[in-house]
Amino acid sequence: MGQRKSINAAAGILLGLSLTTACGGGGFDGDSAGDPESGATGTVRMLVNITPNLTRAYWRELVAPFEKANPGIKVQIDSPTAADGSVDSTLQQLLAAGNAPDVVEGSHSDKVVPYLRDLSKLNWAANAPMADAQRLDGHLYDVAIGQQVQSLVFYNKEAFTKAGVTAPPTTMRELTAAMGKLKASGYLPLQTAGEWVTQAQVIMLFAPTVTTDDPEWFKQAARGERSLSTDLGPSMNLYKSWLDKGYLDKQALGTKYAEAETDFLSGKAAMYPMGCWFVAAEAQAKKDFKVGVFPAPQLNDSATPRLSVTPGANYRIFKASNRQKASEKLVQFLTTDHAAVASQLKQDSSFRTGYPYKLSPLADDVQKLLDDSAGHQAIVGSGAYQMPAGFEAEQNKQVQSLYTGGDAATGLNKVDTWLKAHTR
Amino acid sequence: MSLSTTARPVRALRDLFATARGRDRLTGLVMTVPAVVLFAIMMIVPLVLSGYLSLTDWDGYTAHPAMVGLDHYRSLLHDPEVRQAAWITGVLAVVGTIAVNAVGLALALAISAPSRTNTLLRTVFFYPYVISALIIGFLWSALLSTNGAVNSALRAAGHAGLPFLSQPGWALASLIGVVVWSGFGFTLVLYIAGLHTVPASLLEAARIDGAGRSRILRSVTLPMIAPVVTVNVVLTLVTLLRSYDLVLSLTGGGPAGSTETAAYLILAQSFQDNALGYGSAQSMVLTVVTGIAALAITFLRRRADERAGA
Repeated sequence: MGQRKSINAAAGILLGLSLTTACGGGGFDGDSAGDPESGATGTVRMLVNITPNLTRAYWRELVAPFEKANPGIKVQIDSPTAADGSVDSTLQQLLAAGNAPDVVEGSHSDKVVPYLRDLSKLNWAANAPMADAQRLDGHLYDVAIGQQVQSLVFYNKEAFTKAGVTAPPTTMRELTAAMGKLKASGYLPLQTAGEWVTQAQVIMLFAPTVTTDDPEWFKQAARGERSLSTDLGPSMNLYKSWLDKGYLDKQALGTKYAEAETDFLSGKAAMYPMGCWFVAAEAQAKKDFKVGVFPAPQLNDSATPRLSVTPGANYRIFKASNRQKASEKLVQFLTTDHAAVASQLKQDSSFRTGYPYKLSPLADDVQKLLDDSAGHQAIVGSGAYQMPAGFEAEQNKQVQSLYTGGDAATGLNKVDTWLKAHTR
Repeated sequence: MSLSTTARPVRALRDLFATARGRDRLTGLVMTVPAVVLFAIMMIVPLVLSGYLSLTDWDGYTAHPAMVGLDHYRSLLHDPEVRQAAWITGVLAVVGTIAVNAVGLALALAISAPSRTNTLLRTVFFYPYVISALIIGFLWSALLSTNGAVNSALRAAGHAGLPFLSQPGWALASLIGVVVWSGFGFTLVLYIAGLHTVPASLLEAARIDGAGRSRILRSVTLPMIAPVVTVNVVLTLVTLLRSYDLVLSLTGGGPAGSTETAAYLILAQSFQDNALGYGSAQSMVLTVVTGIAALAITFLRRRADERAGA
């Protein structure tokens, strides 16, 4: 047993070296569970997501009040070291090397779940945003600070006025009609892009259509119990028709995410489907028009669609940590302390009812949509609603194939075939 | 073990120390040890372990991956993504190798003569080779994207933009173009070095015999620099068969996965899809294919040289 562990450890280390040049590797430690009452003091290692907004300096500043209030606990901020800069890829390497952190922020991989501590018995964790949606077989491994609203369409108010679109569309039929008017007025109706954006925007636009009818749709799809060909077929045919009519730029796959954002903010395009984090970019942009936002409508229904949401900045505690009490205190502070939560929400452009923050009128509009929505629906993110690893990349290829001459039915069939082979 | 059998190696070692030639051989052997150890640690051991992992279903997390035998290798044969990636890699490697060497050789012939201008040109042409492939990819993606610098210039001049990165054929052509731009400087330097080894007397003799430029190139210059051609072709081919970072930063494997190379797919499936066992199997196949291609070219080149010598 020990010998096999050693072989696996070495294999991990060297495969990492041979495949990525920058990986750690090998080890498979972390199966053992630490005592929940252990380690009330000491240094807690926390692996966090680092972005232009969420810098190391920001994280240090965020945990400083916690360290001051708990003199026996120090927090060590670890940055992602994987080649792709993601928290989950870094975790894969750290776990394989037997060097898991005590706490992680921004990890969504379900492969990590066996190494996580079940937090369902902690009241503050069970009452966190989206706690119910994040449960897996009744166990709770994730504690979020808020929600990221996904199914939003941002629009150029001046373009709408010029084109004679008097109110934001409430159905896909109205949205399509608005696109026709916007195109006639000389605007690119809907800004899309290559990279990951193509698929993400399709989910942002059409998730409400499937989840308003059946809130459990993503959970069932992840288990292979749904056919995308059946459920998303009409939506994808509509998307393809937009492409054929020139409502989307046929050369958009050569446009990067950042360029798409710039193009919309420079007034070239009239609408831009994107998650709520766009409000940060909008707040900083210099432009001569106002931006509004409306929820992505349903395909055939004008009833208020359920907003698609994912957890914002979720925290996890590793069960092998020997600083369980200190880790628990830290995560409780980060997800319940009003100032800490509000600061993270603003920094990450996430939202939470009861925790408003001042950023921009557009951010206020998004907060209002969240507060007033008929219901939020968890999609992807963590927990049982998360699609199998690789789903986004596979669906992205099929959505992008529409731009290169493919048809919706073939693409959806391929995603269905892939999903059947990769069900959770 | 008998006394005589243990005495024999001891005597051989003593003989080795006894003569200057023996001591030289021993010194040589000792000095190769660090390189051999490093090679074993960095190349052989990972290869062996990758081979082991390719027989398991390891996802990068599981404590005890199950053995799956040759299942991954069988799956490879029927995986349309692998077939597509193999095709793209093949096209990129073959066309890229020919283009990089053709451009490198042509420019080497043009600027091999010693002059200040040629020295400057050599530096300029070599420069892209020293830039990281990731940076080159990002740089060219900014130039070639739908609203990038090139398309903006075309539109400003009254032309329609070109789908450099948004249509599959164009994206592959753009990728090959950037590969050539970034790689020909290295082959150029080697070709210039090779051209300087061609004896001037041979070229002079060919000219006196009435050979034109083209005939001299085919019958004198190219045969004389054949070893350099072999080195350049093998190095370029091996590099292009492993193309990853340029693909990542220039096209991201798109549009619609149309520029995913074998190495790109290996990394994507290993780490994004958590299929390290399957990724290891692909790595093993790619390693074997790369080795066979390099050996085949070297063998064919050597046989051609031997025939020419005979």
